[in-house]
Amino acid sequence: MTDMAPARTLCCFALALAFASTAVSQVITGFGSSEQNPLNINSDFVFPWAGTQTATTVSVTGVSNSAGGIFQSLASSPVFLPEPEVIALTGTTVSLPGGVTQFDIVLYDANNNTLRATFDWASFVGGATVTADLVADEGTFDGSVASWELSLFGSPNEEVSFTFDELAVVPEPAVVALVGGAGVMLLLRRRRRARI
Amino acid sequence: MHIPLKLAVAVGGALLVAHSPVVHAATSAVVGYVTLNIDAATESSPKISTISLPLYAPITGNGAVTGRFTSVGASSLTNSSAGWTAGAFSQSSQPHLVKITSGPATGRIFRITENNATSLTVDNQGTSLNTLGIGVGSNGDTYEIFPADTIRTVFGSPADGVVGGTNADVADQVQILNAAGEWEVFYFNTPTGAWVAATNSANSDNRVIRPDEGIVYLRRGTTPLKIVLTGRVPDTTSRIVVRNSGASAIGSTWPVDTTLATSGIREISGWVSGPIATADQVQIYSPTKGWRSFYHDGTNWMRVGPAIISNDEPIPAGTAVVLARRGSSSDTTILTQNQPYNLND
Repeated sequence: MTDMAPARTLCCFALALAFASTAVSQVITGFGSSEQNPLNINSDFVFPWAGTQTATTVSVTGVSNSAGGIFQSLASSPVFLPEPEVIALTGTTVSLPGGVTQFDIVLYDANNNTLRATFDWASFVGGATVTADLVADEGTFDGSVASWELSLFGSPNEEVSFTFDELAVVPEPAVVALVGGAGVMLLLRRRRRARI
Repeated sequence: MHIPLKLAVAVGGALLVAHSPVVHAATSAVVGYVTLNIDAATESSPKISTISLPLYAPITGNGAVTGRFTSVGASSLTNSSAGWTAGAFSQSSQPHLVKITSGPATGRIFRITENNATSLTVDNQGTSLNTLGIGVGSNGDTYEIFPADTIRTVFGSPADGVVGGTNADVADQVQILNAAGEWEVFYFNTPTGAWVAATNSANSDNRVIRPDEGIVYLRRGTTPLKIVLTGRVPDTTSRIVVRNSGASAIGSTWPVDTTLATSGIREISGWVSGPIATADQVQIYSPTKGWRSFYHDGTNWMRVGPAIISNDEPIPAGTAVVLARRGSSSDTTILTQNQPYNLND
């Protein structure tokens, strides 16, 4: 028994890593007309509205005269987040804003407490899935996503063109490894007891 | 609100608080200072701050720089006994403003484009002065004349901390929404040693920044920028021209914080309240939250998106907001803001 312990530990670790590498993200929302409530796209994304929503994506070209943003309440039940949270945004930046380079995705619970993650527009040039850490923002987030918002930091006269496909929450590898490791240990213990 | 002996002002991107001593000048004007704190950034990752200039320069100049009007024209204001020096208030290197300080047009501020000994020609902001109800004669409405702030006098040069360059893509930018609803971009051009327009490189050192104009400052410098403004505290109602369609960027106009509920925006004639799909909007910038939009639903100010009641949403002193209106009319309306403090206590 004692000689086998290191080997079992290594086995658990390897299995956990394998589990982590195949961690499946949980979709918070798609951006298409068939996937969610109608988007609330405000300010200069409205004046004039320059968005195109397909069944699975939304494309927006703005900002012309003032600030813009996107907000959407989830059509389905709230999406529960694991902790700590990382979100993944899949999209394509067609043209970069001329000045400020970042934007935020803000997640709201049902009581409007928020988490916030920052992305770089340039990361999505040509299409990409980009992850970012969520940080506490306003109030005490209850762990469930009821709505989300794209928040802009650029100058009012900047223009940006982008297409978004999907927003998902991704369990961090370390968390998955811990959960996976604990699961494997539990499995091995049960097997050992079964042999005894 | 009573202005305390120390005027607390939170301004700009850093939202820092500056305590400024307030003293009474010989003219009994209350004066103080405002510190604009603009966040550090980098050339490749600039940050923006919204700015306004809520304090006025001292009342100065030859002749009757305060007084009463004896006649009014579409673009002219006359004081027959003013004794002004011809051209003194319209020099491009030192532009001046005239503010109406009594009557139904109290708080309107006009840039002086020409003057002779008795008459001022002004930029009437698209509306004949004859329509404003300005009283004339021995009991006519009163005015005051004072120098205008300009891009150069406010922001200085690289010696004062701004980042200059050979083009707008590498320099700090001052962005001002003009009367046509177009954003004008200026930067300090190091080869010429002057602020210039990004579109045509025209020298813009003397571009006037009105006290009611909202400014966006795009910072590329790696250190914070602190700009200390001194001047007179506004002591009358404020009246600001707002476009009836599209965007207007307006300064907070007061050296104290206000809120959406006290801003007077809801009371603008023709302001559209109601469902979010049709309501006019106000956009407020936060260095940490980005742009946030608000609309009035007929009862409360609401935040676009999460529909949070936002009557108390702050408009910090020395910042600016953008009004986005859905109308199609090309004319303008007046935003009237009552003085949010009492200087006489």
